[in-house]
Amino acid sequence: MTSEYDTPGPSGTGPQPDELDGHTLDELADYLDRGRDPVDPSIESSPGCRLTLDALERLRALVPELIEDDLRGEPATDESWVERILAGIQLDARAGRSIPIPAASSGSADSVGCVEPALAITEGAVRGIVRAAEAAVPGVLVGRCRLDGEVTEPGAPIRIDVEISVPYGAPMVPLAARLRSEIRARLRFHTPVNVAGIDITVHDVSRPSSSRGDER
Amino acid sequence: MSLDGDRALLAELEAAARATPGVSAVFPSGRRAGRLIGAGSRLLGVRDAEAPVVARTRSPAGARAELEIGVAEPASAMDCARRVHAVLEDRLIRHGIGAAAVRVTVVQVEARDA
Repeated sequence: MTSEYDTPGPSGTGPQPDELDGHTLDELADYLDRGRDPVDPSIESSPGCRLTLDALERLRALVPELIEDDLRGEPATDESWVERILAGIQLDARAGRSIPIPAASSGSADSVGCVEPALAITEGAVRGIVRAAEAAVPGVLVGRCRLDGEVTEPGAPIRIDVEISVPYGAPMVPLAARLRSEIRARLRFHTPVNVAGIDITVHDVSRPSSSRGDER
Repeated sequence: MSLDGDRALLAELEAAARATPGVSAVFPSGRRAGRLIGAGSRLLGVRDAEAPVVARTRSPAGARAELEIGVAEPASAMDCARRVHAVLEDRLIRHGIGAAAVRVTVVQVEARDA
């Protein structure tokens, strides 16, 4: 069983700037602040940057104050879980392995025996598809996502490993079940991945700043 | 006519890919190494702004056109990749380039707002 998370970057905290094609998370956050205007071709032409922007937008919609505190380097009340979410976003922006897509007529990937398939989707794109499932489960944020298995081998069973953050006080089991269902549906719609299982780990419980006043 | 040195054809392929329903973006192919080199070239002011996005590569089977795309929901990434592949193959055949292979990779999927 292989996963590209087996070998962390030199800092041990995630991908290096080259995974965002020379850009940093701060730059992307600033770019979002400007409403992606004017269009920066170097960002918009980078799949890693666009995947990161997608995730940042969803994250900002949920916890805008905490994100700004974290990116400014200021201490936030619950900075650890935000840092983990951001680290996960950066990690997931990696292109990773190429997953063969079968040609429609054959139903089997045009890659048996071939090194490079004619049709493929990257692991990074698949992680983005999984992460986007969080939008269907309000309050849930995907921290990290891994595809465990031989994804380059058509039909190989793949386990999806997801770490999430849930809102304080929310029932975890139903949330995880709903997220699992959404992830499975999105993967079936977009990818040829043979999902053997979806493992969801609640890694953090979040307390957005708007709820701090409600603490008892 | 061949893929080799034919920038107009590569530009035509790119335009055809962008016009395919579901395609949200066409990215410079060659992935990380190519984009790193491109980024460095931009910093040095020597990047060729007119460089084709569709990459022309060599394989044991001959010339190959490679393309990386973004897909926007509600389109399916798989279906969109197949459509782009079919469109590009059709264009190449019309130009008499039957021996060329086409490789399409989906590198990003834009989710529809929940």
